[in-house]
Amino acid sequence: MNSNPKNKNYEYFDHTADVGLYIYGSHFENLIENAGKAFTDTVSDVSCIDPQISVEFLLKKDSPEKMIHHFLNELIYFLDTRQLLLSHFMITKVKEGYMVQAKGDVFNPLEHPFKTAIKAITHHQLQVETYHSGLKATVVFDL
Amino acid sequence: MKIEKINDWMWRIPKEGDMRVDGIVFASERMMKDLREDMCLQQICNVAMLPGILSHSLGMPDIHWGYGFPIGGVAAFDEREGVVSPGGVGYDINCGVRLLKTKLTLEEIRPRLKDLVSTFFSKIPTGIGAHHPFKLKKEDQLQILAKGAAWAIEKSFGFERDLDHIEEKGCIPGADPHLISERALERGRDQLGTLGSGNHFVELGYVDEIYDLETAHILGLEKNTVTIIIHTGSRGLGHQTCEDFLGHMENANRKYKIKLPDPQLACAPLRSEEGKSYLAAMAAAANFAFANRQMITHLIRESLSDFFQRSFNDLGIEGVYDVCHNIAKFEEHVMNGKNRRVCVHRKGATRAFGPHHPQLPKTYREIGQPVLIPGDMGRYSFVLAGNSKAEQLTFGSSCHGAGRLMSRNQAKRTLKGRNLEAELAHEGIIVRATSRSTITEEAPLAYKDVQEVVEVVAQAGISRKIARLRPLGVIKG
Repeated sequence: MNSNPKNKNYEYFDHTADVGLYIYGSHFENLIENAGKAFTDTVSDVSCIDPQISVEFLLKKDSPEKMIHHFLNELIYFLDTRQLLLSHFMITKVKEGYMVQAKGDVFNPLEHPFKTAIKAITHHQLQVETYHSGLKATVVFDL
Repeated sequence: MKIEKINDWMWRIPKEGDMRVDGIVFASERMMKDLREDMCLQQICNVAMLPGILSHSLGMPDIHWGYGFPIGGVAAFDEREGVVSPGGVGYDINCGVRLLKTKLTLEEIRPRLKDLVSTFFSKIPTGIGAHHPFKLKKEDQLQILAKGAAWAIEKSFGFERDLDHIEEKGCIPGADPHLISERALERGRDQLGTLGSGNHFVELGYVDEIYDLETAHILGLEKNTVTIIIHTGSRGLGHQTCEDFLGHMENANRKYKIKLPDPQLACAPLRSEEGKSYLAAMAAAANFAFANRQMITHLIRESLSDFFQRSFNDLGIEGVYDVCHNIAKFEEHVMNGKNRRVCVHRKGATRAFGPHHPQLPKTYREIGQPVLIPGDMGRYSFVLAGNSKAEQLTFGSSCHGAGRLMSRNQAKRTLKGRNLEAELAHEGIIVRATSRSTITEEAPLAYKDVQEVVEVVAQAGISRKIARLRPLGVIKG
């Protein structure tokens, strides 16, 4: 689901050294879900991933920008430490913030294309704003 | 913004508003035309507003826009009144370059180039999930963070003499491994001895031109001899350390009431606990990067030895030098005739001490510090030497590389339909990469011409040209 006239979950914008993304969502949970797919599509290809392995983590209540930043940092953590490519996300609002249940698979060069590694989620231009009837996030990945 | 020409190679941005010092940019007239449209000049002005900045906010000729500090930015701060900023170092702490020389010649490896590059590609871990055969335990990690390249030597991944030809002898003093977070340790645990991806590479090349015969001889560089460049940094451990401390610095800014023109310049006073902690953690992460390049050096030695069935000594695989491109450290510099201890930030810039500097190894005291400037994978790289003029003008600093000209997406659009690997092979350059996208994104046309960058530092007198290297084979993640 998305909520923008371009009918996209995310799109890249030009950035000299790294990668900039606009991510769209009908509401915050959907925005997070699409941010996850955008991340994994930047590293590999979401459509090639068989969601066999589950992980769960809490996004503590904070500003939308800090929560999206934290979420994407968790994906970097799982990628670096367990080589996990996460492709499916269920986000549930809880008292402390949002509970993320994510599924994916361990990177296998025979099954998953490798496009690029992501070093960090920068704070540059980091923003979550209302956009048409939904939300739009701007994030820049350091490659 | 007012820009004044000092000479053909140096430009001043006079201080105005909240700037505490002038900005100085090293660039040619032609480069300056493009830079006037780039936000990096505003970033030089922003850095000039930070407390305790000394002399000038500097931009090297490969300057381009970064996060907070520009890439190609140099700034030194007073040890009592100044600040330290993780943004002035970058996410990839001690991303840097090591140059190896060999006794192999171009004629020897040309007929077997493709197989040799394939050997390197199979032996040097690149991309996701690739790791070095050596399994680290937690106590090893803490030792690496404390000792840097020396740890690798102790474990027989190299020789004692390798340390002489590494900046800071491969270990930044004052590192505190216990300041590295558990998350950073976890991210780095399987990454020691790995290349990474993006603009990191191992490049097999040869000495194609010598500009200073005497200095090249001291460095052991002879025309048509084979060289290897390693470009990588502190991997996930360093990236996470930067991220961890960016958070602490945000709090420090509020605590010490530091007014910032850009939140990405988040910093803390050098005297503060936060400032000292960052420097100690940064040093630990930097030591991981030194150890990383040492481990990769050993993999290269083993690969070449197995391939040619000759010993390391016979092949003469030795370090020329190893430099940091992203670092902040205390150094002594002469200001107004007096020795002064300052904290120099170099983000996408290289230390370039001149002859007789006490920090240089004895073998290089007469010639100055080697300054290694990698170009793109299709053209050339340069070996320079530092001059004492750099110590007067730039806190002993010089450029670090070519700098990007176009975005990754733009590179992909421009090269659509072209087979870059085949084009480079046609020119005698073999490229192997874990990711096909990376080859396109890192295409030569995506980068500025490093020759132009080097010309500026040479003409400005902060470094001098010693040799030019040409690529033969490139490994990327």
